[in-house]
Amino acid sequence: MNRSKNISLLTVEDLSLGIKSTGCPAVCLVENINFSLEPGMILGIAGESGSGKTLTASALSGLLPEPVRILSGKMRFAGGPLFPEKTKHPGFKRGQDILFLFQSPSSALDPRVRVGIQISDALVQAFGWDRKTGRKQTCQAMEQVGLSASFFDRYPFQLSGGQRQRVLMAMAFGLRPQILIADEPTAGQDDSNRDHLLMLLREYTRTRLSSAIVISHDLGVLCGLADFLLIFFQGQQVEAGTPAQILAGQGHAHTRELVDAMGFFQEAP
Amino acid sequence: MKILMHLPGPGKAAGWLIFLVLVMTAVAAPLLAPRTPLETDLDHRLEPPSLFFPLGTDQLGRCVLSRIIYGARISMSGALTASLLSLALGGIIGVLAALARGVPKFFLTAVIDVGLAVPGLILALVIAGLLGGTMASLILGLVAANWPWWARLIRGLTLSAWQREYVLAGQAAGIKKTRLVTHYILPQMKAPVMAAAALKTGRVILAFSGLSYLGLGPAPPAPEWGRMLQEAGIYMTRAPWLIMAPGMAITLAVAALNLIGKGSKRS
Amino acid sequence: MMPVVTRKLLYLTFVLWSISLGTFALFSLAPGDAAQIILNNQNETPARNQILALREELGLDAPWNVQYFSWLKKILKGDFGQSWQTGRPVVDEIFARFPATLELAGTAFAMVLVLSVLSGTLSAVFRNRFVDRLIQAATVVLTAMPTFWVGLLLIYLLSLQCRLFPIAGRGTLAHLVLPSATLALGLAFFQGNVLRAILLRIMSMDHIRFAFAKGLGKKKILVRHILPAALPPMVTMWGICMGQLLGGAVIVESVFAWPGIGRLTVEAVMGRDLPTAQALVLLISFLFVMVNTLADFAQLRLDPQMGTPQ
Repeated sequence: MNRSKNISLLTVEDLSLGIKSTGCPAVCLVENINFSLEPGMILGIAGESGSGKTLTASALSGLLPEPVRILSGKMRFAGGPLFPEKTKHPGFKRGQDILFLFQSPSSALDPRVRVGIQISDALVQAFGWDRKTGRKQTCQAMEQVGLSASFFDRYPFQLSGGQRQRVLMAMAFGLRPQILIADEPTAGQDDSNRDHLLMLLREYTRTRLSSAIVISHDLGVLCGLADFLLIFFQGQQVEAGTPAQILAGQGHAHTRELVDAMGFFQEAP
Repeated sequence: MKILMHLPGPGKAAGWLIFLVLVMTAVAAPLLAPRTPLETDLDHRLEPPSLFFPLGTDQLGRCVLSRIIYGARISMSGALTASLLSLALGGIIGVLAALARGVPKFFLTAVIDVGLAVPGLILALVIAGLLGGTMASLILGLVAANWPWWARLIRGLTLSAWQREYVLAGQAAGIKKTRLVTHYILPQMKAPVMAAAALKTGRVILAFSGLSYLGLGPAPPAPEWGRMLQEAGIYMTRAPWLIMAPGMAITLAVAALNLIGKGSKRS
Repeated sequence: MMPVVTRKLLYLTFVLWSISLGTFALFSLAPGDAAQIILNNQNETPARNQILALREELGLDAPWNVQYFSWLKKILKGDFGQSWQTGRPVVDEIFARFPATLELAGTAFAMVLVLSVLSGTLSAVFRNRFVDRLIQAATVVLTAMPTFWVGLLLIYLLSLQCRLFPIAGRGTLAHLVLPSATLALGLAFFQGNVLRAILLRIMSMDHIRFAFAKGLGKKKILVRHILPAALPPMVTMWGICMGQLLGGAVIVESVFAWPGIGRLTVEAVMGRDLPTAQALVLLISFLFVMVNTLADFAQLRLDPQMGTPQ
């Protein structure tokens, strides 16, 4: 992969995350992550639960859960540091530049607010539109992901799991962030929903203006989707390569396990 | 300034400390008080605090400090008795209401709801007043006012404990209901009940002294704090310092209990 | 299964009826001969046959359930009997004093509302920082202070020393300030503390984090997601608050010589005026239950999941 720093959208060097309280040695949860994201690229992060995928993604958007902190490493976005030293403000705009779609759309959406409003809030915040324009743009974004405009006034409990996931995708299509991070977008979906979501993700990066980081425990999904893969195991990045390299190579033991698991699911009728 | 922010606030420990000091004051009153609470000295009426009378004297020349110390006995014993009795009564009814079925369950739940329908202080006022306005009737009134709150709390705790897996497993294993309650469910409740008891006892002290202020409870010349405040209010223009001591005593007692209750909740 | 609203209304009626039963039982168990007390209050030393005659007239020797139903019938017609202290109809006594308490409790409630939302929100937003610690410390102290002491202190400081407000009684707007402030103070900080806990719980939820992720600012998240989610539990708390306001009014009205039903209750109880006391207990409970039921219904309307066909 061309690793020229000049055109990289996002570079992560030796990132380590963990918990450090005064007086005690640091507990490292994620160690030495290295990757670089180019425009138009889909980066896949695979690994079992608890391997640190979500934590890494949280770090990228500045949403690490309370006690966890960045212990070391550098992250650069569009030429500047992701989190500049002296200021409290991040070096990017959440939502507009980097959008992190949480793992569970049910918990990401406020059950008391209509889904259309939740989408248009983000758009209005990012682009400064008024309510009417916000609503119009939201409906456009919703249609792009296959939700009719009638869904605007619905509450999350009135939607199926797949529809809620599409609401999150509609946010992505409306905001058009340069980096879209999707955490387990296909988990718990039936096949047709899953295919539709994968298609949307591909569509998202097609124009080469934006990239995506897709996290999944399902290597099979990522192999068909990503341009480049990272394999996480127990907080460490144990392998990196293209899907072809990962599948073919004699890499880390854990990778073999993931590949075998994938094969198991593929062979079953 | 920054250091102030990092100091832990006075918590459970401080609360317990103050509370125990108050209890010991009540118990050791004869040893601590400079004079007896009923001893009048008509030559020294309504005097401000001095070396001789550290907190001053009231309208009959009685030493305020001594009365406050002896007053701890009345407030502590009355409030603690009322609190424990309402906890016991409410607890029993609450557990029964949670575990009953059919008509008894409906009846018990309704009784609790009706008990909750009358604002506590008013019910206590009415019952204490109707029964003669003595210390005993005051305690009875406070018990009648507070047991529904306890019943509802314990009913809720029992119901949620009942759903837990280890209780279901116990039932499946054939353990009798009563044993399940005493050995599995009640021990579970210790923590929330303790925290609630501390906070509730504080409110009982406030209600106790409040009703004494209104004229119920131990009759004068008994040195009940609320009653002392009522008398102090009458002489406020001439001897304003009189309102400080009883008020601060009550506040201290309740604040100590608040700290205990809040501190327990956090842990 | 009948709709939720109907079920609640039925239960409400049952509770109200039980209250009437309980009140009647409570007061009929009160020691003392009713006839004797009435005649005593009329400044006569009653002879035995006078007492018996009055007992006959009041139907005090009838069986218990007969007495209850005749009493209930009168209540439903609005006849609460005569006050044993003044001889006037109880209803008149109560309605004469009711507006005063409404004024007091209403003003206090408004103060509680504003102050508790302010203190609770500030505490939660600036959690564990200086503002929060200050408010928490104030809460511990203020909720520990007895209401009557707060009242006396305020009278001393602001009426006697500074001469800003009148000492007692009802009349002008200035008369209203100290009593309602006294009633509101402890409650406001108590409610504020409850609100703080509720807000902190809401703020830890995933969808709040996600609101940050999609780029919303703190103020917008507070207004759009956090505060509205706090509304249902707070509505319940406000219902309970009413009970504490009514109870507190009893004390405050006595401190400030406020001519409301709180003071009337004390006078009735101390003067053994059973019909008045009974009517007051009934009416105050009724009011409290109605307010809580309203709060209940408000909750139903607030929850988007209730009432929508699935």
